[in-house]
Amino acid sequence: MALDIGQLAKDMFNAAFPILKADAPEIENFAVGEFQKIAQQLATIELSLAKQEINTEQAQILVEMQKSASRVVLLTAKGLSLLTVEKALNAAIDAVKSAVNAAAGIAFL
Amino acid sequence: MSAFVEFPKRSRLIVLVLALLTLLAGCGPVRLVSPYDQVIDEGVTAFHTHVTAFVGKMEALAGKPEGSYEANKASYPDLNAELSSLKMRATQTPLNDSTVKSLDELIGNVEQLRKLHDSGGDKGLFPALADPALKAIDVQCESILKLEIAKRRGEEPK
Repeated sequence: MALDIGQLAKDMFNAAFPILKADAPEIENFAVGEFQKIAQQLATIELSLAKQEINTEQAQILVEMQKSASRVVLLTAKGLSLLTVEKALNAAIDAVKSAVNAAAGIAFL
Repeated sequence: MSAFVEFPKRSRLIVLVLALLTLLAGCGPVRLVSPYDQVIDEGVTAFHTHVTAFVGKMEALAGKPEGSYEANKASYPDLNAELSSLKMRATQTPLNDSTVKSLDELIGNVEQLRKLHDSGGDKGLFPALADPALKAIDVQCESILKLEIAKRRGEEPK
């Protein structure tokens, strides 16, 4: 049985796209929420420095800590994005499994 | 010019799709990220409890001899050891790059916390130092846990 490549591609897209669309805002909300916490801390550090509660060296260390926290937020967003791509890819494969197996005549996928 | 390049566009697409499907055949679900690891989940949660309790105690003792860096410097290697063990485990798991790098960043921030405490002199780890430092560590722990829990992929924890 010949495979309809166009239909396969459409089925894969239709299975994968809603997952990408649904998960993206959740990842965005996570990153925005965490960055807001970090921004708040940067403002607090600036205020403490202005009030001379902390010195410049201490402020620099605290800023470095917030930068490190930002990197972890981005690493997490990357990991969450990869999980979403993984979910979408598996959904796309599942969507065409029957058609490909039937065409191959064996349980190929 | 190679034979592949001379294929019409549609044929190249078919070859690519078939090659992809062949690669994936018999491999089960595609994995791009490591599986959920309960040890990392519970280890980061325990570390967060320990560091929060320690910083809270130091804030309460700030300005007193019991809250000085000298009196408490032995706690830092303990905090570091907790994270180093978790990082060693995470490193052994394939496709775990984000978690390994995040644990590295967290280890770095424990060292920064130690430097801050040391810099506080007689005042120790007073609130203007402790609060923003702990918030940064909070964000890191929350982020690592967020990803680890997402790795369950909708499965209920065992």
